[in-house]
Amino acid sequence: MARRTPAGEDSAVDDGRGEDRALMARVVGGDRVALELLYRRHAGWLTARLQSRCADPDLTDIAVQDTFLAVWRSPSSYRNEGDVGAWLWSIGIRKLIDQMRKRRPTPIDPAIMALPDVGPDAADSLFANGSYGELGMNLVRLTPELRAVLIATAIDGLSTKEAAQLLGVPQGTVKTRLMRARHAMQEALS
Amino acid sequence: MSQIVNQVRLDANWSAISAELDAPKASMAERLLGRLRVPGHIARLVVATPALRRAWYLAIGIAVLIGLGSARPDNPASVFVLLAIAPALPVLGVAMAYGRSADPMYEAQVATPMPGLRLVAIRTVTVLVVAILAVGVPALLASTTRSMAFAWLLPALALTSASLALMTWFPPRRATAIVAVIWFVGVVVARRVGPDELAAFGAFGQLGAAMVTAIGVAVIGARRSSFDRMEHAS
Repeated sequence: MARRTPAGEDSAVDDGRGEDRALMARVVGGDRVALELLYRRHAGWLTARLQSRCADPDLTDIAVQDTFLAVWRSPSSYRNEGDVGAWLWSIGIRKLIDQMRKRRPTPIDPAIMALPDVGPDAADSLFANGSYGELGMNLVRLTPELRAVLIATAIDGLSTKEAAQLLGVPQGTVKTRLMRARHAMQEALS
Repeated sequence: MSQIVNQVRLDANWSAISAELDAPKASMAERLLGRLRVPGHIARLVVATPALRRAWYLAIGIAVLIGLGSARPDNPASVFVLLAIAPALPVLGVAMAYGRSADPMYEAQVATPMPGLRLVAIRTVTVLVVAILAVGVPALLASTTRSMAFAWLLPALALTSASLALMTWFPPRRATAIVAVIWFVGVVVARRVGPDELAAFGAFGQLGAAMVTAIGVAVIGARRSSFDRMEHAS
């Protein structure tokens, strides 16, 4: 299955992308300074957004550290195309799930699991400003449980199995809720 | 965007990443042990001590020899010699690697909270595991001699547990020497009086080895306190 990337990247206009790619090229070459620059550019939103998926700040911190360690150790998994921020997010959310699987913290309250209001691009408030438009409005109208599942899969880019680990519910529940959420969205949009 | 997450937190995370990148790289053997969920400090202990590495190589070399030797069943005498030596080697290898003369880490060990007996136990298990793996693969390949190729395993466990049990009373080298002497005398006598050359490794021999293993483990369990005593006394 092709990995879905977080929403928002195609709508974002960001001059920093070229710079991100240049930094990644230097990281591939083993440049520690480039890694630190990459960290300084992206750690802020990544930490904040991971924090909105996990109630335990310690686990979030470990996930962020693991993300950049993974970037340093296998930078070639970045295919030199696409958004570096989206790539970082896809690593970060999986590192977070790894941590949650190991420590089993209390899953985050689905009601708190909001649409990401920070993203890899400069226009942080993009999401908060209602760029999701009608879709975002309808998302808000879903019950918290359904919305959380939809956010985890459609926006975080997780599989149903990973979403189940993130939300601390069985995979079957995720599938059922996802189906119900899709029906609700379809009805609302038609 | 950094106003959302505390700058102090971001800096702390970067420091952690930096420290991780600067940490000495674990060797391949160490990382492999880590994969197998061996605690980090034990993994380092197992692979790092030079004297221990010698014991490793010795055990591996002998184990491969036995694998090859028992793959040639045309010469019963050579099979007997190999089967007699094999079980004693892991224990002797570890005893060789332990002690003031052999171990450059000896002084450090004395000062650490890792008791001598436990250290020997860790090393013995390490050598045993490697030896079993190294002899098991060639033995499986030489399918005709499978039973004989594994005949040394239970005796090896018996000698190991007997040595560890004796080490709760005696210094490591004396304990292993006592066990080795009893073992060698035993197999030679069994060869003389037994129905065939490999009598010591037949059903009765294996049963005896299993019993010795059980008794050894029971003694080690019962005299557990000597672990702690060594921990504080040494």
